[in-house]
Amino acid sequence: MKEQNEIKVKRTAPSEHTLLDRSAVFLQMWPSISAWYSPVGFAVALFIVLGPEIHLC
Amino acid sequence: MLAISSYLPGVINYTQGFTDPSLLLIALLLPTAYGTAGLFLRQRLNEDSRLQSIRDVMNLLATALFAAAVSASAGTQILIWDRNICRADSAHAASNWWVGDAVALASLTPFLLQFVLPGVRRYLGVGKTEPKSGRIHQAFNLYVNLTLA
Repeated sequence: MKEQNEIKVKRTAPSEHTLLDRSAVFLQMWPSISAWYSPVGFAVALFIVLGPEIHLC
Repeated sequence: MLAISSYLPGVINYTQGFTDPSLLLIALLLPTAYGTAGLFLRQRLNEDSRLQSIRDVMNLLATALFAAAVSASAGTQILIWDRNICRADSAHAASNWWVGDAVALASLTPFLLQFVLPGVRRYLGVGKTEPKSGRIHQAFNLYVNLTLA
């Protein structure tokens, strides 16, 4: 069960990252300048909590 | 996985080529910079990765913002090398890159660490259960720590 859940998280993380990146495109205050780049915040939090093993598939 | 996650938005959202050298280099740079910061913070924060004191918040902000500065300056140099931007705009581009990353790291990361990812840890079976009554207290603590920081 634990391994299945890990596989689910590994599979969904790249698509979440891509969707968050898309949101950064919509949040552009001026041309090519985004108010925030949320994928980085998501990636750092995921790395801190889940560790390097979840990122090295 | 982080490199793939950095690479896919460049192709899908910004319609860059699969073999664009700057895209490939930045896709390697971001996991290296933020992965190193994440590993460092994993050692500094407590076991459940929550921000329980001002010291935890300051550790997170200092490390993450330094990693953002490194990735912004190195990423800008990659864009200059690939001639996507001219050298005269490098300082402006680096500062915009850093601000965008810093805002997300200072707002989204603490929120995820405090409220979202403990649930993911429990879902994965690596976290420990906690009473729901403590969540208001944790939210107040996070608000106070972020305000003071």
